[in-house]
Amino acid sequence: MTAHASPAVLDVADLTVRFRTPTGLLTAVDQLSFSVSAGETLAIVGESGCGKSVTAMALLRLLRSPPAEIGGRHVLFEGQDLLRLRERALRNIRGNRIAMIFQDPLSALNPVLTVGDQIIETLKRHTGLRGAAAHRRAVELLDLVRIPEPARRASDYPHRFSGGMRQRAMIAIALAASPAVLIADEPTTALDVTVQAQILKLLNSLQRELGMALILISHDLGVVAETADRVLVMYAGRKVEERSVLDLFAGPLHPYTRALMRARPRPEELREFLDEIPGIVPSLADLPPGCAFAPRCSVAYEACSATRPALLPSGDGGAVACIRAPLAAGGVVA
Amino acid sequence: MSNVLEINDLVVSYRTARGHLTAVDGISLHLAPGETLGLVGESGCGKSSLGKAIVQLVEPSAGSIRVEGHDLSTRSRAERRALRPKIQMVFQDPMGALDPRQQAGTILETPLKLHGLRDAAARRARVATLMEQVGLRPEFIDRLPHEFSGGQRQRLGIARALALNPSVIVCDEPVSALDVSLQAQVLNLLRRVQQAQKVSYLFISHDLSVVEHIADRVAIMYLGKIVEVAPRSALWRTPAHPYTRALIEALPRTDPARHRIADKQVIGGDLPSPYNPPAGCRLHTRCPLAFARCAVEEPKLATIGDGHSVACHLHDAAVAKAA
Repeated sequence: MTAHASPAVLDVADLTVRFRTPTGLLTAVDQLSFSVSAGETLAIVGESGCGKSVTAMALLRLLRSPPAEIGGRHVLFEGQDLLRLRERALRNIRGNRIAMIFQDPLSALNPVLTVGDQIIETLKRHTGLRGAAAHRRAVELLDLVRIPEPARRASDYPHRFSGGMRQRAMIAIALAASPAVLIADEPTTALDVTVQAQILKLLNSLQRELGMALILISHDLGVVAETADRVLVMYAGRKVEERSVLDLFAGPLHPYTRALMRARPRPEELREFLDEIPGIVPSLADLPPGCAFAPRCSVAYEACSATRPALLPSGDGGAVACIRAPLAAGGVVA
Repeated sequence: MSNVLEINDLVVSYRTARGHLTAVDGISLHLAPGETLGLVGESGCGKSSLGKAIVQLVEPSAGSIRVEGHDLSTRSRAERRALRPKIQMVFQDPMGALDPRQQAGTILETPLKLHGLRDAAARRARVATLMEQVGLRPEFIDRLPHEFSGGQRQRLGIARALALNPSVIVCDEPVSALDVSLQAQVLNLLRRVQQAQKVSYLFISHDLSVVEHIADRVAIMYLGKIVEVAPRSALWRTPAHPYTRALIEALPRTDPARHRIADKQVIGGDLPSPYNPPAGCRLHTRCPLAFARCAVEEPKLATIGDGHSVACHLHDAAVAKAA
């Protein structure tokens, strides 16, 4: 499961997102590179403000510019560079070949249109389907996302749906045009834990059935561990580690990844105190020089604050950006 | 030692635009000095309503709440007010729970003033002690809530709850809005506070892994009822109620070699509307083990082991043996 079994369907190189603010230029995503293959789940994980959602929005150029400035080497998708595509051409990819679902389905759904009509709207926009055929397909899609009595529920308005059902409806809309890539930004964060498991299971099985690439953005290491094939860990706008899910959880190499895992309560392994990560995430307006994690890192030394660590191969198909990585992996670190 | 908090057959109901809602439906609980009881359930299960009733933010419709032996329902308004310092609350969203125009020092001083600490110098000294106890630097005393980070605001909320030396703190999702690194800081702080002064916590959360970490005992709620109570290790190792098992199974684990979403046994269905809960056992519409009796007869909470109770017809034999 390391490297890439099949060629990348989406390849991102040096994506950089800056925001123009009254206090200056903030770099929210800093030279981020990754790729994802058909049938693969890549998770992007990090705490609030790490740039994971901005990354998702930037891929489809959904950020208002100004203040956002999106740059980079390329975002290659089906032979086209999304960074350089005209807005008109991008509209044929957005919601069609690359679809997206969000944390809060209620605000993403139109309250005055029935769920069925919202799917039909997408079908009309991105496929040739019209009239009765579109309606049939909408019901099929609701059935695909396991909504009971799909024909009847198609004529319901979103407020008649529970939180979990709304997220299923969002997934149905996202799948309407059979996308090659689905970006799911914290898709289960607002849901209860039993419903979360249902939705993640659904996404997982749909991805397999349809051979889609899935980019799952999450703050929750548990969700990531159970769902992803590959994991990219972000801190302060940068990739600090990228590994296969098994390698990452068997032996995290970056001190931040390791600290995140140890800060999390684990019922299987109760301890009196959790390992705290001292301090807080640095402000993007005031990033420390060198490694952005250095001021909070238990193994940092002078060199860490001097130069920004390069992203280096970890020997197992992954990569890590830490000059102290072998020390962190050796278990010497508290 | 006698319990600091005892709740018997408590009912909390609301009259709303959508109709009559019984959020807490006949719940009994107790809390020993220095103990942490975790209360876990999904949205709409009534856990926050229970917390609010305990701190007298909502009026119960029936049942009793005894604080250090004093029954709130039989006391006068003035007597109940006098009992308020004993039970304090920490909220999920400290920004919404703190007056945005009050400085940290004023926020901490107000409860001291209201409850009779007249000496200004003594109040200032107490504020300084509280800030130190929760890890806020003394120079933060003039800051407004928005000038603090999320984790610091929650520390301030905890300091305010501690101001009057309560015997119980109701913590309602105190770390749910925080990133995992800050979550650890706040959970450790709550533990240190408890070790220092033997306060009891009623720790309300949707997150079973957090509750398993912090609580001595855990109660599981579903649609206004407690379905299982057990010491934390018994709840984790030998969960008896199908709903508890479903919650444990659904909990995301960080061990991809053993736990993958594709292999999970996930309980189906959505939470039924709390306005119109199912008859019989409230879980029977979703329970994989339900049988005919579950739809008609409501199971009572009964003891199956040491401090371990469950409300489920599947355990009748175990109940008979324990009795």
